[in-house]
Amino acid sequence: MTEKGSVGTVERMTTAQRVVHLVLMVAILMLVISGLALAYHEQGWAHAIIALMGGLGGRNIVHKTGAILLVLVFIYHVVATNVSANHQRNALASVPKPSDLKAGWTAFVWRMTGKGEPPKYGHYTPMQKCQYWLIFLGCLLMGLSGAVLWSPRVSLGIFPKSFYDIMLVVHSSEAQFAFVILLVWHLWDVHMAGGNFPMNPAWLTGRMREDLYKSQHLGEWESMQKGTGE
Amino acid sequence: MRGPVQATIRRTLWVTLLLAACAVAASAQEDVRCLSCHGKPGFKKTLPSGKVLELFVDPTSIRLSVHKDKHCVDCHADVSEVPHPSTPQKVNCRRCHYNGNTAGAPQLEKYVEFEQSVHGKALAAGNTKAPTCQDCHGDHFILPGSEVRSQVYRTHIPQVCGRCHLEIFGQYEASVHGKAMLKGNPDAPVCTSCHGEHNIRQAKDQASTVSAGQVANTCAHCHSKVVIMEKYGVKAEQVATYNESFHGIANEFGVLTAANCASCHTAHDILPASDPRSSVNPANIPKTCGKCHPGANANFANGRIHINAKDKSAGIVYWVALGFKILTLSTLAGLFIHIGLDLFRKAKDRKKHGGRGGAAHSENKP
Repeated sequence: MTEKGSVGTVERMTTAQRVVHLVLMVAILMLVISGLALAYHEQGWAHAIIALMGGLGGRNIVHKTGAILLVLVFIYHVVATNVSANHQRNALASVPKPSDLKAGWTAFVWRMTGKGEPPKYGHYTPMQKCQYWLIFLGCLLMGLSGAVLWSPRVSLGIFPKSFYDIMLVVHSSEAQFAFVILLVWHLWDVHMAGGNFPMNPAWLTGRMREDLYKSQHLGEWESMQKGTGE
Repeated sequence: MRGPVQATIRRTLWVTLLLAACAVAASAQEDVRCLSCHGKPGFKKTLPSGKVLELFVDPTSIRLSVHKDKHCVDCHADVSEVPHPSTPQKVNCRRCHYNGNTAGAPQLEKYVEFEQSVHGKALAAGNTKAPTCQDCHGDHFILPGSEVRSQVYRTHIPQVCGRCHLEIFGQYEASVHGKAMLKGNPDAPVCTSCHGEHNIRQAKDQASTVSAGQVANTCAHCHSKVVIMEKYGVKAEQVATYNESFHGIANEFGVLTAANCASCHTAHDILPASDPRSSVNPANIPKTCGKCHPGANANFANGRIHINAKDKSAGIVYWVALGFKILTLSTLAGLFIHIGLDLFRKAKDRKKHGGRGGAAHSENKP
């Protein structure tokens, strides 16, 4: 994965990762659009979206299709992480370490005062790790609460109404939390931050410009140079 | 040549006036003639069927009514001979009560509304049990609904409707609304508060104020008003919590099979949840929910229905919602600090290097 591209690019995402990212993106868009339309049902735009989906019934189909996609991609991710060496390496790189806190602090001081060194991030920056784990836990939480909400008939046969209500508030609250993280954090990160503007193309081409890779993942870059002997 | 024409006109006018005066006098005289029999207390007739017709008319009742200037034959227009050769017809109020009348009857949309109503349609279809104006408004002693002595005064309405709608009257009387009304509570709804007056339609008619799509709005007239509801310890937010529920949202989007207020609380039997006979008493919840959710069990009763996640009374739901709100806001705040610092460093570097800071990011600084 450290192979150099022909025009000064570095591989950032494998084909499998890009496919997973695309499916995840489509699933989340379907879920967020149909979900927010329900949460903000009294708004005109929500009515327009629901009408576009063919009414409440159509909205339910869109939401549940998105949910199935999300669950499938989540299961694939968890299984692949456990069976494929490549995925495992990625997974290990995403595990938060005490050094992330230190790197975060260094970055904070450097940004505030300009003193010290710019942070030497690895394959995933501390912020990216944060995002990943929030989305990972979010998927778990949304999946579990969504499963309870899926069929009131079935779930109320098993759980009391009070449990159903807790799942409902968890589902809508976590959804809005995840939406904020994706919208503000992730989109900032890949479109605006670190010289990525207008966009980090890795999700489409799988590759990143060398200079950007170096500036954003200096730690990994340095070890890459050592590893390849360049 | 104009003289004789003018004279003719003048003559015609005089004759008309004279005739009118005679008619008034004659009507007044007719009243005296009518009352010579109908003015006697106890004047009645026994029909061959054995039914006794009370035929006494108290002349003062007319004089005190809105029709004080009318005469007997103004309404009983088919009566011209005494004794009557045939049974006089039932009075048709529509002789005067139509829009565009010149008899001085009020010009009201209500006449048209009545035609469209369930009662008006039944009447037009020839249903002999369908109510006519007199069935609700009375006959000789007609007063505006705003007057306490009027048959259609607010608190008299349930009895008026109950004359035909016996079973519903019984349910209403025992309900929380009926009991309050009987105590003279001016807030309590009577039949017309929910069903309308002249425009009463069947609940299955979508234009009805008590139809599945509209009943929630009808209840909300009173139930969304804190000033009224706080007097009875009922939460005005029940309207909003319903609107926010899956049932309320489905109803908003025209899914008329979704539960509305009456689906759970019933229409006329409405009782507080604490009452064991109430459809929303915890013991009866499985049965009530079971109307739409076959196999509903005690789990349905194990939790609250009208939940406001913004209120502490919602318990765990409140704390979960609050927790997520704090989490979301603090994360947002953190993100904006992060983004702000990012921009700050970039701006500083740009200043330092002069001009463009370089396409590569500030972190790219050697």
